Amino acid sequence: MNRLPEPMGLLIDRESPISFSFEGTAYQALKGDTIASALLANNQWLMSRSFKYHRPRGPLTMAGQDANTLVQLPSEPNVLADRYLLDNGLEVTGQNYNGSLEKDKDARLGYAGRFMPVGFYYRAFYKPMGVWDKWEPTIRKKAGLGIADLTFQPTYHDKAYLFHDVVVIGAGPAGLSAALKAANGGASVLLVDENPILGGALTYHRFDVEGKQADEWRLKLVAEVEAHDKIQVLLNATCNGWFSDNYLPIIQGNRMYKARAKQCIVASGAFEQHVVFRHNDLPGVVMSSAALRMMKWYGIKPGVQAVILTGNNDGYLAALELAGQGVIIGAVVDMRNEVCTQLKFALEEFGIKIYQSATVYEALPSANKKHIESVKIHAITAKGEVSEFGEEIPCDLLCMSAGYMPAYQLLCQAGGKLDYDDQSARFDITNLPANLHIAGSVNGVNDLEKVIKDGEMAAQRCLNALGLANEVAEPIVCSLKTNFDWPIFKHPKGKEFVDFDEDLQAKDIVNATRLGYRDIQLVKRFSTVGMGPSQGRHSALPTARLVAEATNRTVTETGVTTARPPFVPEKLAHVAGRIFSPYRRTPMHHRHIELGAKMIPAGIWRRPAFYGPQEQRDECIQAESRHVRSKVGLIDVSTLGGIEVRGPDAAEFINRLYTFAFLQQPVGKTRYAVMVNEQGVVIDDGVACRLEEDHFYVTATTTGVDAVYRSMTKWNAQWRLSVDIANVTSAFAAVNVAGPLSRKVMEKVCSDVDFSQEAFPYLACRTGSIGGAPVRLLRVGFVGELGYEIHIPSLYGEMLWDLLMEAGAEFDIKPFGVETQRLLRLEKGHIIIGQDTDGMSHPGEVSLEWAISRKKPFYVGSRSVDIVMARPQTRKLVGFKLPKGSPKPKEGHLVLANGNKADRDIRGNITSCEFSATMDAIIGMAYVGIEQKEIGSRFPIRVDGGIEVLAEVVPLPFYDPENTRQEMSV
Amino acid sequence: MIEQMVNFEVRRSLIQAMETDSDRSPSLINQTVFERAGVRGPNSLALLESIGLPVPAKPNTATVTETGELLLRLSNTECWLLSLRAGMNEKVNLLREAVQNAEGVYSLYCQYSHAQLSLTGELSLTGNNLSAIMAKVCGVDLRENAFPTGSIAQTSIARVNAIVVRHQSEEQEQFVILSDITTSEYLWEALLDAMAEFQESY
Repeated sequence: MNRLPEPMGLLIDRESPISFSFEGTAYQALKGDTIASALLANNQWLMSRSFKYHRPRGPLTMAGQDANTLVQLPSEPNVLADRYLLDNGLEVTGQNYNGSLEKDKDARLGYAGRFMPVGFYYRAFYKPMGVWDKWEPTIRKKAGLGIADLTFQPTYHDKAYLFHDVVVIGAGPAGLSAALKAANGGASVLLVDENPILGGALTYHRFDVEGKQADEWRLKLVAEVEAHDKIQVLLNATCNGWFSDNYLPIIQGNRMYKARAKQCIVASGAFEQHVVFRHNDLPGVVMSSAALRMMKWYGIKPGVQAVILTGNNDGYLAALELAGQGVIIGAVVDMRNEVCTQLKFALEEFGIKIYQSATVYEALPSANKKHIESVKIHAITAKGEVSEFGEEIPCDLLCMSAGYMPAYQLLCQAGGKLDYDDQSARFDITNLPANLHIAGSVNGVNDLEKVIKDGEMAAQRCLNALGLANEVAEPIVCSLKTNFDWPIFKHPKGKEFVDFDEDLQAKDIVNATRLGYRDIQLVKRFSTVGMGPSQGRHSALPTARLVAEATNRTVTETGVTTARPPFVPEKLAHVAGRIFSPYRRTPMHHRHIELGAKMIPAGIWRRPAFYGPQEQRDECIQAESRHVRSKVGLIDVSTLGGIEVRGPDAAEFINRLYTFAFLQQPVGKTRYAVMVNEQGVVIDDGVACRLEEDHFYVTATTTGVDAVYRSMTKWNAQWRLSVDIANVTSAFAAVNVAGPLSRKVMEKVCSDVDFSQEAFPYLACRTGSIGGAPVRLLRVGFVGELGYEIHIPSLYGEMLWDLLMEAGAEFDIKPFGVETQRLLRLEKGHIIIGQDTDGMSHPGEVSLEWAISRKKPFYVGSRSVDIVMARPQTRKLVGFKLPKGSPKPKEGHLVLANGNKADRDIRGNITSCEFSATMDAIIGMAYVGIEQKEIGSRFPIRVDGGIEVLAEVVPLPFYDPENTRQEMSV
Repeated sequence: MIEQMVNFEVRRSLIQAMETDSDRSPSLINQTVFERAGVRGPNSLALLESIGLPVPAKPNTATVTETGELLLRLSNTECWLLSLRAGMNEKVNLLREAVQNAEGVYSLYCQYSHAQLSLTGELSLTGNNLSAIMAKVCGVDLRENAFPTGSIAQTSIARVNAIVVRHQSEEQEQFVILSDITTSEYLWEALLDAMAEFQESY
């Protein structure tokens, strides 16, 4: 393997060899290697094929900032090889090729490039009409990169919150110094970095001729940070977005942290920029920082003979570093015409030749076209123009240092504004919101000592804002120029790439502007520049420059495209992982499961629909229904809402909230309670039990109780009545024992209540005890049979169920589910609020006039009820019947106007419908037009398949209209 | 309602386990069937003081009684008294009796409306683990420095409403969590999941 001796190779463990395969060939690597570094150590530079022309591509940044190293793993496509830590035995392949990575047949597309200009697909395949449908399969087959594994098994992902005073994003010199300053000032600090070690640029960059500063500072700052108990460090972690008030999603492994920082410092650094020249995408052409990372991080010698193409001093320092590791430097090509004397002398000591005011105009490939073999150097004669003749220098490595683009993404998400400074040829970031600070090279500060100072000043601003200090934080000014103003050299033969992801050349950008797409956002959408995986990290700056020049505007006016989260690709699993979906269970839940209940959701609750297998649904419901009608059944109604109203004003309070009259309600009696809203719409119903003079227990619907409780507390905030209101839904378990034998069961379990018809009549309520636990007993008739609702403190719910099943055994008691209950109550003509009512239903429409007190002066919604019921009515909820064999309407099916016209109006809809064995017919309730409501009239229902059935309006209830069943005395 | 007439043994929690593996720390203990009582109303604080209970000075704080119960003040006029071990019922019964005929005080149903869970860790082992566990399910900073012993948060845990109290005994630190009893199985599972990575044998 190609490995340099220590101290190179900070990230690798030389004692831990591992093996892996790439494209079926076995390779050796070291623990700590990424896929890309391991391949480079085995001299495998070709890692991918480009998106459009299938050009050979190798590493560009070695930092996951480009799409050149996208590879395929067995269960994951589009993996960044220069970020993915290698596991022993990993099988890696290339992707997006036709044939093999080495011999990709689709590389021929490169020859057709001139016929596939920018916007080619939009413009070529839209006419004649229908042509796209013909081309689409072929184009889609060629589009895309990796292959998704459809047999992939989801893995565990979760989330956690983090709480810190200061979050510092980026652990380079600015981030480290900021974290230390903030922590020393008393703040709790979270330091986040995407790399596996602290230090950022200190881990690979060379800051001085001697090459000492980086390590000295790194060792000092890292040791202090690691020893500080107020600093939490997250490595291999990426802050993937900035949201209001410093809400920061941070992804580390399979976890997404959600951090809310009082103060945030972004010290995210800067992306080194490439030079635009012909064949600048050949494997072997890399950023200078990439070459340094190869050496410092992985101990890889990136080439035998290198050429450095630079527009700043960093290229010289990279040359020194490379030369120090035995790389022959063929030339340093400086696009500037001035040079730092100290650096020039340092290079001359190595015998390195320097070209000034010159550029690489073209890189030339090796015979197999898969690596750089030489460069042609031309003198720069004007902005973007070069001399006719140049000099060819052999090399297998070309390092580019055109300047830096601040890692602005998070800051622009926060509203930061990019201003281009012509003097420094770089973007500055301004207009940041309060409590968000910026430090280091992202702030345009590049001199190391100033970078460290800038971090401290940002921390000082945080401490001041936190009230932990009150010192002036002076802005740091750095005049070190790092950006060359026009590193773009168009070539008559093209292939000078602005955007490597999308194979976009300089002419593609310019042509987009000539087609009228002058706005940078339109250029992006038309050309797709910046839309690839690297999201414009390298293309944004040259694109802004090219568009500015082509449209005669400044770069500031042109700007860059919008940066949106996520900053790096984010798996859906990170967002979806460990989402909380609460569910409620009644105290008898486990008994239902043991009895084979088919559980269904009812809002957030889980309830038994019926007891038996799903495929026998109809049989189970009919059998349970017959059982309740003939013997005795029990149903868990614990989900029913329960609200306690206690206090001297309890009756007055209930009287104001519900439509009926409650002031004179006797203790020991229940009364039907209908609630309407201020618009007069029926929103809930229940039973108000007066347990004592100043104590009401009111039931509410399963899904409505929370809103009822909120409404009660809201109204009493205005009324200030002397009551205590408590939502006790969860405090009580409840069971409805119903059927002609229910009284016998009750008498067995509850000895301290007289269950005779005289002592405990219909609509009465009593208190007593069952199994030693206190109970509230309500005589109800919801399902149309003799029945008792038992409300018991929840911890005794299961005990109650067991006692009832045991006591009821001799009467053949059986449980029934909520679907059976719906059928039974339908037979009895009882409405369910929310099912048989909608957002417009007033009491008159659903025949609840009897439940409204006309004598009392006020109840919530009374004025609206008077108004809506005085208006001409347009619809009515009626009972209907269909013959047994008729197609069965479903809830929601439409009721149409009578007549034969094809375009008849919709007059209403079905709200409930079921086959009733008791009635031996299909029965239901529906809203019909007011002209259709008369008993005996018929109305059409459009059922599945567009079939119409004619239903007959019948009186409600369907079952036991004389109410003899629920009043039975034996 | 006269709760004390009922035999403690017949109370059944929806959560079927009483505790997670007790040989590991942190552990989760189901205290739902333990005694607790709540009062609310304009005279509730005076009533508590009249029976010698140490009423917390301000809402969202808790005190410990001389016999070890936890007294939670949840608002200006509402307090809950929690037993932290089975059979600890003297003070709770005292309160229940006192509230029977008190004016301006309403007894609450927290014995039955809420599950009581205790996330407990050995002080010598847990470090910040309990807070880290809670940070996986709760958006409130429950670390010791921000949420010292005796603090109460009425918040959301794993998307269900909950009351969280930080408590510390001689050897253990704990979060007592009170949450709707009907979602208690769900919350139990969510907490076990959050705890898994931190559990260690001792």
